[in-house]
Amino acid sequence: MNGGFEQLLQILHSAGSKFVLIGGLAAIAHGAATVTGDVDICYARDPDNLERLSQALAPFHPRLRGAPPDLPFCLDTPTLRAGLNFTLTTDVGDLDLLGEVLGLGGYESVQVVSEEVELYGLSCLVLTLEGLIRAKRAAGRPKDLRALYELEALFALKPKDDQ
Amino acid sequence: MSQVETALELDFSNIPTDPLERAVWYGVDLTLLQENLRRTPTERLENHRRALEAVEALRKANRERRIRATPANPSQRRE
Repeated sequence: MNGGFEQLLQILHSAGSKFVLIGGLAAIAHGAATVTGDVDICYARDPDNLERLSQALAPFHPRLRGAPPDLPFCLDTPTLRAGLNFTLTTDVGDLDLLGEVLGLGGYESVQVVSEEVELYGLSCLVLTLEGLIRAKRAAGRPKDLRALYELEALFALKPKDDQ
Repeated sequence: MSQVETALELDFSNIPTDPLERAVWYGVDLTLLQENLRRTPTERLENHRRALEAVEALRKANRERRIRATPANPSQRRE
């Protein structure tokens, strides 16, 4: 269970890493009444950002979620470079790092459909409702239907000048 | 007919086209969304965090209840 949303956002933000908040927490920031236990971000894959991310997370012992505890794993820059999407657990909560988002693409494309939102006093890039809807539609999983309909309802309810 | 059977009989060929009607049709509580929209993004995250903590407290209480209900000595278990 993750109560460390604020701490994770602060860690990522203070490292100056380039990321967009996506997934359930982004939906909640937009007003969704869903429940999520992790922080999902789409991160930039340039070498500088991989370095920033790995160094920022290292003190919080990131490990692969659901993997055997004795499985060797080190979230350093080469590991980030070699992989794309990582589902992690850390000392401060669960964190999913996505190099690409289905229906949207990599960080550069995701950034285009994101907006700056103040969260806990931090200015964070958050995927827009439109972006979340596009990603949910692309995922096309039955389990996402409720979330999709909820996001579409939020889009309809939001004042037009906020969209 | 039970509620589960009713839910399984949702007619997906006749989904409402209006997004609000569609959400209600699928069980989304619009009043929760409307309340959330009155909050700031941080307040929405904080509200969610408190809900998550409540869920975790319930899970913990349930785990502890099960542990208390399980005899420590296997010989004490009822056949």
